[in-house]
Amino acid sequence: MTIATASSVLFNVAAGAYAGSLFFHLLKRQRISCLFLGIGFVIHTASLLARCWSWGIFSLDGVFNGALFLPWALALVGLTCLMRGRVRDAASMSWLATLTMLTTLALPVQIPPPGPFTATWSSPMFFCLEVLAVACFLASGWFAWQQLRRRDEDLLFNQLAIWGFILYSLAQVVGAVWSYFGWASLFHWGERHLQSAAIWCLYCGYLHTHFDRSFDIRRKARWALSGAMVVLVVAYALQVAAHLTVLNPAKGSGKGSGRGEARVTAQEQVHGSVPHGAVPGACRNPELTEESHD
Amino acid sequence: MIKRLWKALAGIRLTLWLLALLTVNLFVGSFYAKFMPVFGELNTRLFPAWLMTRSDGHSWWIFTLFGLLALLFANTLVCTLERVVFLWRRRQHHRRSIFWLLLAPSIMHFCFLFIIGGHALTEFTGSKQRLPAAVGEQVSFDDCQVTLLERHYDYWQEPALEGKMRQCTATLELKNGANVEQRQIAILEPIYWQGYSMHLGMAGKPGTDELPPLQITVKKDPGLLLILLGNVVLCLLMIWYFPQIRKIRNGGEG
Repeated sequence: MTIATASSVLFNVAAGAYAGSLFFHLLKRQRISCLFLGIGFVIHTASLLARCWSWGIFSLDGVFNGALFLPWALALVGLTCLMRGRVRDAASMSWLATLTMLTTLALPVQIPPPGPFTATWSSPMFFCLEVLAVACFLASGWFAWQQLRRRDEDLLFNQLAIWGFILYSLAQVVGAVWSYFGWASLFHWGERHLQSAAIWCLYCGYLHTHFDRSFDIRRKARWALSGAMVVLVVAYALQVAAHLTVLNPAKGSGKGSGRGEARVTAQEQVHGSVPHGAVPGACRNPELTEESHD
Repeated sequence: MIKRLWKALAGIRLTLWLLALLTVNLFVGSFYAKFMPVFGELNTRLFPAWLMTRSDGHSWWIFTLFGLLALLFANTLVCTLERVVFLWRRRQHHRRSIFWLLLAPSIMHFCFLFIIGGHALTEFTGSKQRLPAAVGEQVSFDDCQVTLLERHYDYWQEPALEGKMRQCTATLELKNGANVEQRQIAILEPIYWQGYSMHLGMAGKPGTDELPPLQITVKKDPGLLLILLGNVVLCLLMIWYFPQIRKIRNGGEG
């Protein structure tokens, strides 16, 4: 069994554990549900660690791909709730962890191979922070929706939105540094950067609702829920769709989550399309593949 | 008149509207940027040069974006100044640590102004050029000449990564009057020379029997330090401020 296969097997087992967590949550056995969530999280961590060596070298490329890393980040949010004594809230996170995990299993994605544009600390750090922020935003929307269905005031969704905003801001700074070194610009006039700026403004606006007295907890919850829906579409669905094998059947081969075929470069993850038309590794002439000079 | 304008600009409701409109504007713009390559040219040209030659009716979202950003800049400046004056007058009422904690959001807002100002400085007064990187060819900008002496490609040796490029480097000869020097440049490893930064990138897709074509982006970025400084201080303050203020609201010490 190769490391890549082991990683995929562990990923499937983790998905099963998250599904078990959801099953017990539906049966209102919250503590057992949390136990399964924790087991799934540990196995999922092992899967991600194994993925670091899946290319035969240590590489963080693809480890923080949204499809693979988001369920882990959502489970982490759940376990953080558990550590703060919020057993029911922690168990309810199994919904999000399971749904994102099943989406990845049903619609496999292909992770990019390490290339010259990702050989830096800022690349994996950017994706890690961004996905953690997305997890906080989605969890915020999830708890905002629950808030809208009851009468008591629970500001958990607000705390998650704030942490999401902090992490998202950090991701933007780290991403800007990466973009500057790789593409000579802190800000790229492209789909991806403009949408990131839009999400940042959306949550910046949310934070400022705190200073407007007309915004009661329900209106804030509505904003957080709407923000999460936007993030779900823009920062998750569209990003994952760009890597889906079913939507990119002609993109060649590479290592994936088990069944994938298409290959997407890190540039495409960041800029939406290859900004300089670069496809590292596309030159396959054997005479040119060994430290070529011209 | 000035007082009325100041009061209108100092409203939090205006901030909320501007941020909501900016969100919509940026989303709309992202689709224009995706489907119309003309907006990609903003990455290789300064805004004034692009505006004179390439803007048309489809560019409306850029004008509204800059207009909204200018309004947000003014709104942020006015609100922040009002807040700082308010806190300064009441500084005797707070312990020093609490005073700094209360001042932190104002500093964050100044950082935001630095970031917006830095981007404006870069877009309006910097310089951007993309030069093809062919071996032996010399390109000139201002009084400087750059010659690409050699290119070098490294590929991974691992079986799983066969044919995948690992790094790409080039040797440049940089000439400014009598001053001549040779420097190595690589992807993600720009060089700094005579106030310019030079970044190696790829210019297009390689063919089956061709190495990927390279290009060098030469940039003068007068707003870079402002943006980086603003971003770093903003993030550090956010990491410190939010947990602290939450602790205080929950009854803890500041």
